[in-house]
Amino acid sequence: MVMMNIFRNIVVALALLLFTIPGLVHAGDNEYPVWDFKYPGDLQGWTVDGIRDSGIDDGAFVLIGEKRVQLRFPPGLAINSEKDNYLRLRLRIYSPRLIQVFWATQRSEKQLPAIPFYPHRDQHLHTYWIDLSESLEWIGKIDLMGLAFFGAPGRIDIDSIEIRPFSLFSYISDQWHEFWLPRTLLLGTINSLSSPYIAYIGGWSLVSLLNLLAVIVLIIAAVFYSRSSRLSRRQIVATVGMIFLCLWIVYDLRDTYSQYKIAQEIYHSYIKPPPEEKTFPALGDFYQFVSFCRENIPQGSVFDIIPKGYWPFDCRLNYFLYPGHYIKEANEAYYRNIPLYYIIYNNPQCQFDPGSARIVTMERKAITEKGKIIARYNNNSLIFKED
Amino acid sequence: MVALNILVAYIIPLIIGVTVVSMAEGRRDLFRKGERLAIGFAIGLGIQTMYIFCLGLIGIRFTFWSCSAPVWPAIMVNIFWLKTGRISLRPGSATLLRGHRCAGKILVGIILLLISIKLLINIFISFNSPAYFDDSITIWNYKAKVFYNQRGLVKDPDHPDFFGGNVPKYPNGIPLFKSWIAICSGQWKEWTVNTISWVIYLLTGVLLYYGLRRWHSAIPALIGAYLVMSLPLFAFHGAFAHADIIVGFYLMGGVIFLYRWMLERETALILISAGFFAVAGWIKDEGLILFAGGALVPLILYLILNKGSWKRGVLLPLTIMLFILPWLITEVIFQFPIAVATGEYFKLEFHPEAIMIIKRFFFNTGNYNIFWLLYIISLFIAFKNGRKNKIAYLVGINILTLATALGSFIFTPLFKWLAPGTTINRAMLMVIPAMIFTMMRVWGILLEEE
Repeated sequence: MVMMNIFRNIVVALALLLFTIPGLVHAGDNEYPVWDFKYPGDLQGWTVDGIRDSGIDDGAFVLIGEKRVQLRFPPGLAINSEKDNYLRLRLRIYSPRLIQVFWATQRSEKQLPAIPFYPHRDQHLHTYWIDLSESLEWIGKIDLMGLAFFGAPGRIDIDSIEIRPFSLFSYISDQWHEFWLPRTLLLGTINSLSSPYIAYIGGWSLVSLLNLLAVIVLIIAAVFYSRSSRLSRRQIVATVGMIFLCLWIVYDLRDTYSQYKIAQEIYHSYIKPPPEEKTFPALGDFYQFVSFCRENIPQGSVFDIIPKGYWPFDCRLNYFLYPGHYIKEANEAYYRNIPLYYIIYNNPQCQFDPGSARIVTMERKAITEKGKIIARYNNNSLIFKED
Repeated sequence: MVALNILVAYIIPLIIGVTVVSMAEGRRDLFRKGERLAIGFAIGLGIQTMYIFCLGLIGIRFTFWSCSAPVWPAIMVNIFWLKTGRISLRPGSATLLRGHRCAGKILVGIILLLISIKLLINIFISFNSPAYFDDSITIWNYKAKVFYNQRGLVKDPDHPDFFGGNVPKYPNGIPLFKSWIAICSGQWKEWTVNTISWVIYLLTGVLLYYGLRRWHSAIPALIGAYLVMSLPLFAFHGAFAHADIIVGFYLMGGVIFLYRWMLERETALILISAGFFAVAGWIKDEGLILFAGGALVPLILYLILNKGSWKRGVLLPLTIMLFILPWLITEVIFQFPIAVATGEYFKLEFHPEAIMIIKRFFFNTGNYNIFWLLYIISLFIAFKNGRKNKIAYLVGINILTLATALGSFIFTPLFKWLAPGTTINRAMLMVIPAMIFTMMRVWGILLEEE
């Protein structure tokens, strides 16, 4: 059944491609609503709930979520649901796991059940095509539309939004771009690698598609094998083996490209720039901060990190500042009465209070004894030493 | 200069290992030259780090001279063998490109090119990035840095650097080797201590190649090496300082030589197999658990069905115990928990939902290419040919090792680590290299039969 669906999708996609090639004109005559957020004025009419901050940054509408974020498109949309039935979204998600598209028609006048989808959260801009006509409620004139973001709140970058008719050319072009997106080096990448997607044939990942192809090859080979003479069986086995190897190589080439892009990213962010501009994927300028700590904390000192358990930086500072020791429950007794250094890295929640000469939280609760700032790295990063 | 020092850091365990392998081998020529070097380094790494650990236990400071002591008698022995003509310095004959037709040569060229690109990328990343992922930071490199800075083992439980500071209960094979590299180079440099990851990545391919080469021509052997080196998650780990592929390498070596022993009955082979399994346990506790869960039952079955091999068969667990003894004694004396997981996980409970999660990881993520499908196909072929060439034992070891690894996620509270996928795929890296050996062996036999 699944195979039938795939074949049907492939056939339909190819047929549509053939029929649409002569008329491959991007509907960019903008007969449908498009927002690409180039200038601050482009935010006029948009309303957002649950955010700490928002604005235009680098050609994208940036939302810094605090609670559940809900974004409403400008009022008076008057979308023709029959003609414009796809939502093309280009966005980058850091935290939320689920996005729901909702709308209201002139007829219903109330918010209707939503179409949910799961975004990729790999710090790349991704393009999503949401088929709104999947919902029976996508009828008549659409007055109100919006997006709701579920899961942990965080930063959302919206590059562009279009409500438009389907265009196979744009769709394939987007998916081709998606297919070649590099793998992001994150601190969890060591546990699992994602496969590139080939969304235009049923949302399958490349690896699942190759698995399917291998099964098809196997079935065909089994039929031939059972009907062939002993002499040609060897040829069948060898041929099947070679086809499997080719399928393997196809994936390997794409994977090698991902690995190459990681090497390239490390080169451009960490190796090539001068020391004061070095960053590292997922860690930002952390290694610059490590050098700063090494310069300002005497070797072998005992230090604490505020807040405690500040992953991913606590274990890394513990390692890179060794033979300095990060004070933990297990070794607290060992270091009793030794003056402590406190490290704050990119944490606006805890600051030095000049009045009490202590590090305090936002609620003015003291975290340390009296002391002084040894060195300041930036507004939210410093080294403090207790007297 | 640093490069030369690192070379020394690698050559010393190589000499120790090659000498031990040659001693076990006697006058029988069981290995090709390249194979002997790969086995020699693998075994030598284990012997030298266990020796350094013993130095630490008796309170001797880690210096170049104290840590390299075993190499001097090994060099003397080798000089003697050179004089008597038992060994020679002549390079082995390269057969990789010889004797193929044009298409074969092109295939060999493509595969070598693909392997080289992957290896070079991994070397580039490894040379140019500090230890990055959590386990490297908190365990493998941290402990190594502590051993290097202390120039020994701290045995005072109240000291923050007690047995490497973080997770003292973890075996110390890799941290001690990294601290040995730092001792040789005279400084702690991230790129030097992390070289072991891509060296083992490369050696996995080399060992698999020679393992298959025993029975098959160069092309299937090279394809086997390519499959393991291009398994996406395995290749990714080759650039970063994690220990899972190192355990995978040692378990694969253990399986290859145990299988060879079953076919050839040479005592040296079972000793070397034991050496590989033992070092796997000295790298991570999982090494011993997977050996016990995967290889013991097929071995016992083999000994029952092949009377007269008991004496040599028991050499396997005995050698492992003997090698790992200093660490086991340490665990008992300092009351380290021997199990991988804590007591709360020792409960039997069935999680059927685990099966779908595992299926998704195996067939829909980018960790394994199409390996799992190919292995399942190989199993069907193996059913047909299982009795020939003792393939059934090989498959049996694979399945039991896999069951041990997966079983812990399906039948215990460890299930909670399955859904987020933090450990399951890394656990598979320990199992898969040996499975690729089996897979290629099965296909090779099928081709020869037909």
